[in-house]
Amino acid sequence: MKKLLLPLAAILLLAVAVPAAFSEAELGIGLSPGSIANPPDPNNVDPILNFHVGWSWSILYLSWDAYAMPDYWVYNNTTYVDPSSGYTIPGYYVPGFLNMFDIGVKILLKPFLLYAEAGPNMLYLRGGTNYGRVGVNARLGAGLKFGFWGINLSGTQVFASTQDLEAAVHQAIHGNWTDLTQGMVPTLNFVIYF
Amino acid sequence: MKMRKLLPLVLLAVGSLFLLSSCDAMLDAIFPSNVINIDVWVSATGHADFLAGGSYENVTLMDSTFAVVANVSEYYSSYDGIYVHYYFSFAKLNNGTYYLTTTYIGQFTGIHPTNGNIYDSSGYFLGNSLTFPDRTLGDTSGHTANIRMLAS
Repeated sequence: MKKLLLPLAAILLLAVAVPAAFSEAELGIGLSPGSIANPPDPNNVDPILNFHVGWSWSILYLSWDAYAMPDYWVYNNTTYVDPSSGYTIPGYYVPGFLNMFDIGVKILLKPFLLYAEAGPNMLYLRGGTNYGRVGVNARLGAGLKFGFWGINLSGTQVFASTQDLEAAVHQAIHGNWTDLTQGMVPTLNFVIYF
Repeated sequence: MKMRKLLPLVLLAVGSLFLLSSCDAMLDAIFPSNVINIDVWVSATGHADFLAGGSYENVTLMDSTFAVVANVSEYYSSYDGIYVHYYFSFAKLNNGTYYLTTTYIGQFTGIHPTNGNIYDSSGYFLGNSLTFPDRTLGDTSGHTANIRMLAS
């Protein structure tokens, strides 16, 4: 946890230090390719829709993204092998919302935009329940901003735990970006700024 | 600057999205997933040619405006000694009301009149339509209906 607090504190300090601080809210919608499930389901290749809400102050960036995940993805990601018995415990075969709450930095060099963020995610399952395990995700994005609107392309990597994310970041620091970027879900976002 | 005036609307939209992110109705709209599983019971004595290669059962699925959603024909699946069973399954259906008709087409006995009566899986008469979500005919999610129909 300490390892995560340090970069967060650094981001906050940087945000305070930048003199021309301004705040900006944003609302967006995005699409990801449907064949991102592992393994992909050939019968379910419709694009995945996501809703985006963000707020930035200086370079500090907070966002919430809700990805509408299809049933086969939820099943693959909630099925696990019980370590004590060795049996495979089947997951939930229902669609759900993967809600990602992230904090990071957003750098605007008009009209170019770059951002990087990480945070926890929770999976809501249709029927009124949240999946018990809280995951972690990291996102890198780049795009263009034209006045009150913009488009950007992001890549999101979902991790099962903070330990997995820390290990991936550690590897990236040492030059191996594979764990951080391999399997990233690309998303094309359309954003309106306020 | 004009966009700033829309901030209350933005906050409203954000609040709505937060509510919708845990809203089944929104997921249902994005992923229509209702399923109707039908077991059509056909009396073997009244439809003696069910084994013939040219005999089959036809089921037509219609929406609330009676527009045809699907029209499927199947050969017999099983025979319990009294009734012949034909199984049908319609998936990825939106919420709403559906009507069904079933028709037996015998190779030698010809077309038997359509029947739109729907029963639950224990044989209790339900009427001639079903509406999703329905939490009585399948699992508690309300997205599966297991029904029985009787061919005329």
